[in-house]
Amino acid sequence: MAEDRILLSLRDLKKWYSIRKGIFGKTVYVKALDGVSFDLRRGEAISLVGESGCGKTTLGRTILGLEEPTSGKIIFDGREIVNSDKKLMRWYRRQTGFVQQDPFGALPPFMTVKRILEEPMIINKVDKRERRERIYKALTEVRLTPVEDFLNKYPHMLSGGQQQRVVIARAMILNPKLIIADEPVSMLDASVRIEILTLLKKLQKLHDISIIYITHDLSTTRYFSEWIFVMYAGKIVEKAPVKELLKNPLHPYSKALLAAIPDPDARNRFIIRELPPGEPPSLIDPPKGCRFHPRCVHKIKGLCDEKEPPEIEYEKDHFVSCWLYVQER
Amino acid sequence: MSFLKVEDLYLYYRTRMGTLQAVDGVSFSIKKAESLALIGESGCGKSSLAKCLMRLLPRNVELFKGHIYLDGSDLMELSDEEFRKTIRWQRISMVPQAALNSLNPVIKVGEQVAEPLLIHKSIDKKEALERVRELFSLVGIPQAFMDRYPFELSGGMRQRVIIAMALIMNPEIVILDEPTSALDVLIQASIMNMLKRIKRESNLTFILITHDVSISSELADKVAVMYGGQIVELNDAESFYKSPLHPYSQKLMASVPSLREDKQPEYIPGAPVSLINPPKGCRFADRCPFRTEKCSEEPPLVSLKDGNYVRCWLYAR
Repeated sequence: MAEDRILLSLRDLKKWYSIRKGIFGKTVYVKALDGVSFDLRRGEAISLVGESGCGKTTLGRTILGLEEPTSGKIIFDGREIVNSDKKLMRWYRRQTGFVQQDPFGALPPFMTVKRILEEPMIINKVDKRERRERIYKALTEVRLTPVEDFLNKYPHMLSGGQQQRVVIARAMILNPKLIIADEPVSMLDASVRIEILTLLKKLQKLHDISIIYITHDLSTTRYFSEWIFVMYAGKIVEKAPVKELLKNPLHPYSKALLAAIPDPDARNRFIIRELPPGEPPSLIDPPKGCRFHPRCVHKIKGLCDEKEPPEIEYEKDHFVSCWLYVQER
Repeated sequence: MSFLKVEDLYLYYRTRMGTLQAVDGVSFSIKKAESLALIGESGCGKSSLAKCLMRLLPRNVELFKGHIYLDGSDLMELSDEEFRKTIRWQRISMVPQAALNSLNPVIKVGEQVAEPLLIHKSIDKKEALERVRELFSLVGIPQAFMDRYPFELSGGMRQRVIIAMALIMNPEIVILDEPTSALDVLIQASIMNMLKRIKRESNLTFILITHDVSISSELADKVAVMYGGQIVELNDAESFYKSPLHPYSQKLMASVPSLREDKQPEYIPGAPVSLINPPKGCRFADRCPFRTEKCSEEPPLVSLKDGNYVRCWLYAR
């Protein structure tokens, strides 16, 4: 991977939340992120896929600087972000945009669309004329046109899809290099979903931005990202180019995820799908060794339940953390 | 012989903006043990149709008329009291949308599920709990969970409890309103597996309401596509998923991102039609790529085989 094309690098990123059990009990940790490393290139999109509680939202928030990592490194555009000074942090915040899951909750109900878009620019001291220009440009780009019709509307006057466009316009308004979109379409209808994702894809290409698309829905990843990273219980278990992963998933968990999603077909109703038993583990006391081993049909006794699997590059650009693919174990 | 037959059903709401035509002349019929999927975008009237069947109506109803024949007798002729005593939950029951957090937090789930048996059927508690135990194994809840409280259960398990509640009175029809939309894919698939097993092993008739076309194909023998308060296509699953007829059905299908095929999903331009003062003629006309002048007139119901139909001028002879 050409070094200069890399925008964001994570190295062994951890986020542990401490909780106390009982009043005098000892402190235990919820290991929401437990050693995440990856590189994201400029202008590319990653889909971060996993079930609720796997740490994908925590990862997004930690990258954005909304959560302080417990340890590890975040390197953005060559600069170390964790524990950096205020000035660098302010610069970093301008480089990143956030698109939340619930657009209505993400927009202040008492502000007009114009004011919502203006706010980040006022904070970052953009002058008035430029503010106006950028608002017009942003609303045009998210296709809320004619712009005049939307400037003075309040969030409740917009449909869910339009609200999400405002959230996207706000995330884009400071010309960031990285957008983190956390389940941006899960609350929208199927057709509107595709519309919003198509829009995000277009903006990504137009401005050469990188996107981390956090989702539990594998089916939307294919057309809207270059990479899929699969997360399970605080760790990334597989990374690969989208089509490669969808065609040839390696990790038993990725395989299970893929097999669970139906394509519309009348034969589905006669098929009982094979699924891994049980549910994801607690992050307070995750299983020893591979975290998926209690649910895995390919478990190798004495190995998977003892030692954590290393990440290996199985094929070019296709990484997996699973003992099944380790030659010398 | 149809088991449930709905004929010319209307449900209008009074709102400050005017009359909202949530269900506007809906007709369909299903056989016993047949499953119907009701699909469409938010606000198309699917949940309102479920409210009609359960007669769980809000206070601002302006118009509620038509016929709902269950096994030949018209439920619309029953008084509210008769409906409550003999139909709702006993013959037609429902898993409401987003019900995950509606369990009573201070009662053990086994007892919560048993409650209607104790109230409606004169059986003792031991017997009722025995019935719940059987039901729990049917819906895939471990026996030990009988004595747990809702907060001790995961989302998937709570949804199974709610499904058990809908089944406890031994109904003939169960309406499932978005039963898996708040759940993760693996849990979603395991709940669909469970429903498929129940369907295979019993005589239950399911009505599955969902906006997710892929999920609908997990259960549907028959599909009804709703748009703007009307059913625009009623078709058998085999024909529907292979070649949907109504332009809206086709567009809906094209918006489904396929995991396995290289097919760019498309979105439907424009916004869903308003149910307050909807336009005359075909309600989808404004977004339809095949629109002709005729479409400003009310489209005919073109009959297909087995009482199925499509509401579109394209197929009129």
